[in-house]
Amino acid sequence: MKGNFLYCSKITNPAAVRERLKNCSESYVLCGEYGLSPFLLTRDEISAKRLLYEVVLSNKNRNLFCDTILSAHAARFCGIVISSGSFEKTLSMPMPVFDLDVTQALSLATSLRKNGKIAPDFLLGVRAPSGSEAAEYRARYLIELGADFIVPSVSIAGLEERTMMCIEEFTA
Amino acid sequence: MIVTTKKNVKEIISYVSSNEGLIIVGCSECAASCQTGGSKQVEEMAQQMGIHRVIATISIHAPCDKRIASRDLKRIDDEIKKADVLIALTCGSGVQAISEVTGKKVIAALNTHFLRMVERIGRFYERCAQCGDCILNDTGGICPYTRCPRKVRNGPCEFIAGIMCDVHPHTECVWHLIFTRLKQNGEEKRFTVFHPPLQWENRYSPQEVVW
Ligand code: SF4
Ligand code: SF4
Repeated sequence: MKGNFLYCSKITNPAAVRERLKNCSESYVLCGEYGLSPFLLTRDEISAKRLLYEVVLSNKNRNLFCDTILSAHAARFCGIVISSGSFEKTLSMPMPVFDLDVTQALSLATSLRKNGKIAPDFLLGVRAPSGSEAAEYRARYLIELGADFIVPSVSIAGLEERTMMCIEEFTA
Repeated sequence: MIVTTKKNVKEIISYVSSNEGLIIVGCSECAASCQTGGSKQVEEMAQQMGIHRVIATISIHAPCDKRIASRDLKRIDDEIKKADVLIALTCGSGVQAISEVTGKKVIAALNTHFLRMVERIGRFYERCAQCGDCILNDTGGICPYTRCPRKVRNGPCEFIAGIMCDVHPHTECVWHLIFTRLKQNGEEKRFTVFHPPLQWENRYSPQEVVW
């Protein structure tokens, strides 16, 4: 699949996000986990649009990762985008914990699909590396492994039909 | 080999009472080459003990090996009997081996950091974080687990900036290095061998290899 999405990376004011969603015309909206949980939106609000849930892997172990996918599926998101998550290190905080990388996470997500735990049309997307030979090699592999689409930061020759690009990022 | 650094002497002395007799034990293997626990550092530590009574000093080849610690400490058996405290200029394993062998109070004088690759004295680099599931044969002999800050075992991650790592912007992404090496070796296909997540149930401490 191919397309564009609006990216709400961080929810701080759910009412403002609701308002924005009501008025948006983009076919997909990706809800990030960097602020309040996208699960604050009601099932009706979620199913009224084609909302994707961004599952961020930092500080999430494999059980929580799978539970988050199942919850997003139950809450009627139309799919997920798997993301490594930013690396924040401050003097007073330990470094984030990374139990899974996106390839391992995608493999877990595809096994949930194979085992019938999520519907076959629940979309599995993944943020893919791009911009170097090694990065593109990996991106192609992510498609082979079962990603419905990838989200690279720059488009990758030959993978355009399987690429979703962010057209605008907002926080509200 | 294990990299250690010195603890502050005041911190070490704070664990010793003024009437306690001391023995200072060094390691002439890893700690000696880190210049934290060789015979020179043992003597320096003895001099820094001030009013505290140093009964003996000794350097042991590998104090983390209980057989060696036990054999070498026998040489100062009488002094050990008189001592109240041993100060160990060794890694954490050495401290505990000495404690188990002597049954005495042992104070750790060093901080233990990592398994090192040595370029020269004073240039020690971590290249293996002992993950227990080695993937070096698929990664051109370059360890991503140790060198990638996100611990990515199937990389690179989406944050790669050109060929550089976003976390350490002056360092090339280890997965770029791996790809380059595999390509040089004609083993490009190995780049996408799938490495499953680490099995943390195998990583609980204390680990043992016993046969
Ligand atoms: S993969 Fe890396 S950390 Fe794991 S055992 Fe091999 S060298 Fe060590
Ligand atoms: S850019 Fe490379 S080295 Fe840096 S976190 Fe991502 S995979 Fe690891």
